[in-house]
Amino acid sequence: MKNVYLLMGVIAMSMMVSCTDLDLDATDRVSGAAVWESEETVDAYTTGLYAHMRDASELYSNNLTDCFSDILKSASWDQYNHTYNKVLLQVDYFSSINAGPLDKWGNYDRIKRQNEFLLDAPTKGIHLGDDFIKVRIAEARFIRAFAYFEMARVYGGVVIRDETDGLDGRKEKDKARATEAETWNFIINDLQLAAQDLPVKWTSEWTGRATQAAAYGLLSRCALYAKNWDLAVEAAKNTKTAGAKLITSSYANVFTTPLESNSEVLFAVSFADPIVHGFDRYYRPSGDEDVYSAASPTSELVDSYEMADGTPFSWSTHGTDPYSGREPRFYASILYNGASWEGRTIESYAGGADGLIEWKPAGATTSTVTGYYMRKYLQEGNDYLKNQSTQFDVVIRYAEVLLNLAEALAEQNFSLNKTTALATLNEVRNRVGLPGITEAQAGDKDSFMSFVRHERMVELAFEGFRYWDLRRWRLAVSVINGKTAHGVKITKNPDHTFRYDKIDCDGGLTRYFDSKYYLMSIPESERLNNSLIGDNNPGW
Amino acid sequence: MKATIFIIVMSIAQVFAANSYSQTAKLSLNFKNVSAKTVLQRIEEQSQFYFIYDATVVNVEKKVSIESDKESISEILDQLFEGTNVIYKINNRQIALTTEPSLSVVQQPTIKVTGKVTDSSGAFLPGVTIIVKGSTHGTITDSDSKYSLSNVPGDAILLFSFVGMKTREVAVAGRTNIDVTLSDETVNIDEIVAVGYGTQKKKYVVGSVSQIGSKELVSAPMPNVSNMLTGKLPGVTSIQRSGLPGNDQTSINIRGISTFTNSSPLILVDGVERMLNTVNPADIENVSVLKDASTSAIYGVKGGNGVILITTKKGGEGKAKISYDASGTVSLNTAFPKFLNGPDYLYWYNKASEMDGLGLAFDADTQTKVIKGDPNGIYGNTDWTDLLFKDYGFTQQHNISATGGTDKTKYYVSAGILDQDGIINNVNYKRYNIRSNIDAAIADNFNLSLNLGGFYENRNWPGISMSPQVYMNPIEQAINAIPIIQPTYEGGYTGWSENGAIIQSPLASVENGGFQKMQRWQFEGSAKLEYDFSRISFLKGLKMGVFCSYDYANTANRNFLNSYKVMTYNKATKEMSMERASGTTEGGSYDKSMSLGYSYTLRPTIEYSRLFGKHNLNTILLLEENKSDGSTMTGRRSGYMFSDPIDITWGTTYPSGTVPVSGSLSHSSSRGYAGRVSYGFDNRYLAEFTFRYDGTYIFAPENRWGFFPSVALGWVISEEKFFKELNTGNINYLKIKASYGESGSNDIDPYLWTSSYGLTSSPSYVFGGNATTSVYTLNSIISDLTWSRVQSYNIGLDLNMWNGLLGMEFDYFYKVTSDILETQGGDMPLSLGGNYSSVANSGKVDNRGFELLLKHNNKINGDWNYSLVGSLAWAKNKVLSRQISEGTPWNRNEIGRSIGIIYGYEAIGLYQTQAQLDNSPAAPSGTKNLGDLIYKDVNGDGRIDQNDFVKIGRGTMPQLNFSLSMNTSYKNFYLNALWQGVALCDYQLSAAYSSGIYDNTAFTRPFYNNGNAPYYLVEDTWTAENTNAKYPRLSTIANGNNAWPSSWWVVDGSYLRLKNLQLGYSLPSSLLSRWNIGLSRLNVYVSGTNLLTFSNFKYVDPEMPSVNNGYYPQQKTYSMGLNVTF
Repeated sequence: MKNVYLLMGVIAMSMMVSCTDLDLDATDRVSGAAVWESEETVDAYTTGLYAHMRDASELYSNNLTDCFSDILKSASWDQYNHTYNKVLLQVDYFSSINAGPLDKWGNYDRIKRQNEFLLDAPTKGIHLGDDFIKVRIAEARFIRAFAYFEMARVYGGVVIRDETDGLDGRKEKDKARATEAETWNFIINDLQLAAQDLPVKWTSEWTGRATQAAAYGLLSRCALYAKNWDLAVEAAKNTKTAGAKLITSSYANVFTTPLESNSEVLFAVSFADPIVHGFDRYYRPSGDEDVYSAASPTSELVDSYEMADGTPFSWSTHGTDPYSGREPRFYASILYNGASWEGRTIESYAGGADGLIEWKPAGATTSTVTGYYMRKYLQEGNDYLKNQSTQFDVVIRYAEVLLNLAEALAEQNFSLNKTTALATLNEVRNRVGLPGITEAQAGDKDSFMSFVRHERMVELAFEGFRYWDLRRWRLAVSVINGKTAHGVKITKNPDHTFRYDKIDCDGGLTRYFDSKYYLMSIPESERLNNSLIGDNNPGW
Repeated sequence: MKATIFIIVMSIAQVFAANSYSQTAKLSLNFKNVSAKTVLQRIEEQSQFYFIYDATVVNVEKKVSIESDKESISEILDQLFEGTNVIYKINNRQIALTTEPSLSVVQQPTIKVTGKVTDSSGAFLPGVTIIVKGSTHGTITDSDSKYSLSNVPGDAILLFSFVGMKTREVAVAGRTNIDVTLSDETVNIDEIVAVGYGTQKKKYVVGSVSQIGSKELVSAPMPNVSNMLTGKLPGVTSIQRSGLPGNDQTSINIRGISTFTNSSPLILVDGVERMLNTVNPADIENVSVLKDASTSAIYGVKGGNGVILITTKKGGEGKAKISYDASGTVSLNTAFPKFLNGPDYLYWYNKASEMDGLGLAFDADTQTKVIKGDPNGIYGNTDWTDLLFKDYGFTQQHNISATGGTDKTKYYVSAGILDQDGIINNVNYKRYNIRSNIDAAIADNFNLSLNLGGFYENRNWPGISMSPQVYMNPIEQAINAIPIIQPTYEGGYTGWSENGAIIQSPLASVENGGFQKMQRWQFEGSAKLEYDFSRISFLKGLKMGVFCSYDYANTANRNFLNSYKVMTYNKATKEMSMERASGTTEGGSYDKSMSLGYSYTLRPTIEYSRLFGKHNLNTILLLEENKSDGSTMTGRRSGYMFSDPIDITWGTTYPSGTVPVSGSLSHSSSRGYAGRVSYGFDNRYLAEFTFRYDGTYIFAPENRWGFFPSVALGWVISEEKFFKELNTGNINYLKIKASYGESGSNDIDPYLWTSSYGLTSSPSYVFGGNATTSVYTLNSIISDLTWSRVQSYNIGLDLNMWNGLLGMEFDYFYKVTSDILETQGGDMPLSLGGNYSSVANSGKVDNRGFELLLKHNNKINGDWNYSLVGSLAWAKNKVLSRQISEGTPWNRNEIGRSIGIIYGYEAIGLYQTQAQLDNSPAAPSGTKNLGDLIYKDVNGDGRIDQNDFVKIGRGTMPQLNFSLSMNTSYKNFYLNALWQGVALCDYQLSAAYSSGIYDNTAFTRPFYNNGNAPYYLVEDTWTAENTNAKYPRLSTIANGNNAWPSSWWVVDGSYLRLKNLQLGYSLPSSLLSRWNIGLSRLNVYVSGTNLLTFSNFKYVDPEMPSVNNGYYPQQKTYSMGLNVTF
């Protein structure tokens, strides 16, 4: 019998030792209470919202939307997931399923998180003080406005999902699409609220967070899209009041002055290890090591840079020495044959170290296809293979706000605002030493606007404005459709002079832009699952 | 040999005593007026005795009454056959019955016959009964398997019988030396099969169970157990997607798939959830597969996809038997397409380039250099795939085991080594297994089983992953490499690039690309203490025990992606330059992860088994608790200065974009109460009830516990009197059975019911020049989740006819899996941003099918034996409910169709005329040219877009599996062949990559990725001269039009394979004993796997992964081996 007791003992002991508890604490997540615990945790939560701005950065996502326009030519046909050329050169590349490479409907994932934050912050964060929490709320509004801005410029009106009646869930899945005007008003409202509460400046530790000037700057841009000229004018003026100022030392310095002391850059996405991007790796001249040279500025852009004295560039006049005597923005933005670069000279002539390869619709050309490279945003002397790139990506800067203002003034009432409009435009020109546009040159609104458009193209080149401006102005059909982009084929003569031949760089194809592209198709999945979405945009 | 059964019978023995079993076993019986046969059967069931008798001699139909209380077997037998001429002979557990010699038999001159009895593998069979037919005169073989029988009439017939073996009749015909080989009784209804938490005699099984023993399992040397199962267990589908050592296992599904989430079965090794493929195959006693819910419901929430039970070997009584097994295996690719050689590449590329209107891509000078040789050593004619693949891979396996023991203590100990070299350099897998299984009677009625096992595995791969879709995988690089340059240049490996962008070098990638090493140390231990209450008369049949296991594992992963440079040929500039290979970064990068974890199981059990007259009751009740904990840590550095040593310390920088150190903790727990009651009446009517009440930490407390019942019934018709009267003796055994049960599946992330913020694993944003980490919201809270529930119906039939000439097992099943946990949102607009329960118990799938097993076992004469086992299994599922987007076009609706069916365009031909081009809708992408694919505009809207997708193929999971096992032996030779195949499945040569991008592959577009092309492809592409082509237009340019998933690229995945072939020879035991070197068995064999394959697309293996640009191919093997037993 003693064995039975032994067995019982073993069983009893093992049951006691057993501590199988089915109520385990998760070791891989944080509770809601912990997140709103302190200023530090709420700032960590807020930081997460900024990730949207990082992903929106064209440098970070390696999605230079200028490649969809006339000023920048992608070298890829079917590599690196780059579809710019297919978009431009294939008829009806876009379908009604979604907006393809322009798709921004996915922003709703971030918007949901922004809404969650905005819903909880006033109650759960109030113990941290009203001043503290209202700034974080303003930041969330700024970011949400940016997310909706990205969508509105693709689709026009979108479905407004916000936190005012709680988060939209399963029950609210069917919701009507707001009109384009309502959508812009929603964005404008967020930005106006944000601008009220955002600080003028952050401590250096937090440089890069949204400021009042950033909100006003973005407001001036959105107001142009909304065609609310009064608001655009007011927002631009408020931007200045909030401390925005051009960097006058040089145009190139705009992109190199540290953000903390950069009065012109109102909002930029900064990079530091490990959040880095590959701009140097992707876009450096092909003579550099292990690079892709994935996009080349076109002659359409390069030839638009004026001479330093303000006269237009012309091949017939300046063709023997095309790259001398141009305005400063040319040198700051373009690498051309003969430019000095990291102690060497760019050789984009045929057979040179950076020589042109004519583009064809296959694979990817890994050298310039136009004879030019971008210079803006490249970091000279950067060990990009080891460190990648940390150049900040300018999202909003004061020069743009001035050009927004000039445009808004002209649209508001050109004849009344002519003087201020010209002065505003000329502030941008004068900064790079170019003579101002005179009243005689800009006699009416249309001619003034053509100067504004030229100025935006060269001033804001590679900053992601051109394609969207062409759409906003409804000029994309006339500028893109049926056209081809151009480059220059440079041949080195035996006497070390060069011959320049204009070449077509679209592989013999012509570009396509249908007017329906101005407003892209609402994604099919939204239309199928949201019964109140209403009509799709025209043409889809 | 069937010592298998013998050992199991012993291991479930109730009493071990110092004296022999027959003297100590005490039996209690109480029968009135039943046949003597019934009494004998009850004794067999109640004890370990088994009877051998000739029913024509011994009258077992005689009605008897007997009452005994704890009497010995001889006392009972005396009582039973009192007053008859029946005599008995007891040899431990085996009892031979016969009659006194009849006086009427005319005495003939007699002789003395001696000889030896062995099994078909030559192993000794002590205790075989040899009886002169028609008499009681007989003897038993001794421990050396020898016998000697005097007074045998010269024309007598000897009966050789042994439990688990087919009884043989041998005519003496005047011989004095008769050696006999007994073969396994293939259709053996006394076979014992492993079922949930126990064993059952096969004749009492009412669920659906298949089992194979060690001999059928290890029919050819293979590196892991899952590969050995292919084709051997009806209802089990095995798919092997890769031949890469360390990753060449098969995925296993039982009865196809019944859910669109995880459909892997539960795998238990010695009753504990463990990895299948690290078990030493030589240690396995048997593999049992529980297919229906009546057998798997006892595993509750984990049993829904079926259960695989692996039982390791146990020791046996007797002096130590030491066995040594060794094999050497050579492996080769089963299939790999031949790629163009240099001159042919130039020819076809130029032709394609001309067709593209791009003129000749290679000039005559290049051609001359490739064909005639290049003084500069750049050009050449190189077969990259041939250089990448070695002549063969070599694998060796060694295993040594010792087994033996006394009636109190038995042991099985073993050690095994596997050393597997791949067909590509720097691919190697090694595994060392040890095991010690000990059973001991530590006190009266108190038994301890202690199973200790462990292994160390060491996997070594090149630094660049071999996974099929991984960027720059070395096999893809070999396919991409152009064959017109020398493999080496100035002593180093060459690379090439199209135009300086992507630099590939297949040989350097394997030789210089670093490594991916994995080491794992694992300990697996379990102990069971059991007390038998049989000594207490009113508790007779009661056993209580406690089982516990503790497994501990420690894994180290070390991955070094080396930076290497190669002399690179630039196809655009035609120059050589030293470049760093793409996909690598300066200084390389290295990460090391260490993980450790344990899991334990505690399982107290109560068993009660007893026979009351004709009522046979077997019950088990148990509690099971599991708990596991895991911890991992990973560190990374880059900037390695030295090529050796490589470890974290030696990196000089932290890699950008990643966190240098990370780690995680995890734990899990579950508890279940389970039980089974089996009841049999008179061996004719069988009933079984099973349940489990299971709880898991995964779900919210209110949804945590579930009840899983099952019930099964069986009717052994052959035991019915009326049947015996009708049956003329053709049918030996016939059973029909039916079952219903429920089990579950909990394949979902835990904690979804709690709240839910995460810290980003790497910084999210840069403020003030510093990257900052952030907090983000995880899922929305989902509190109503629970497991999915599988309801399963099974009906079946077991039949044995003509004493094994025909055996049949047939099962038909129907399963419904409901409440499948599935991702939600298909019907939700994106604008909600995912603010809804992301998973719900909402899917429903049914699955039906059958398994048919036919066996034929025969001997042609004393020397010739053969057996055939054929199986056919079919399973087809249908989605009954699944989340799909509202308004999904009818042609893409999965409801009512099978899981995983393939959708795409219906390709209706190649454009042959300009008129066709002009009158067809625009290409869905890319361009339309002569020779490109024409797609059907299914909805007739004049546009080819994804609304025109239709079903173009079945899924990759075969609906039909079949096999034919053919075994034959002649004297000491044996030849075994296993044919295996599948049908009713399809795979795609080209479709969506896992990234979601539609693109061609190297198997469907020549010069894919600017690389080389296989011969079959270019030779049958559309050209002006070959318009009746199998493949679209020859071109150097990618054309999106031909890259869509379409019926054109769907291949019927059916195949038939000679899966195993083994030819063996066992040295005659007479020879071994004459040598007198202590050998009791010596067996040599040659064998092979995947020797022949018949499929629809012969250039790649039919089990290849859909959509790949080169992967590590499945292997065919040729082995030689020997088994020695001392």
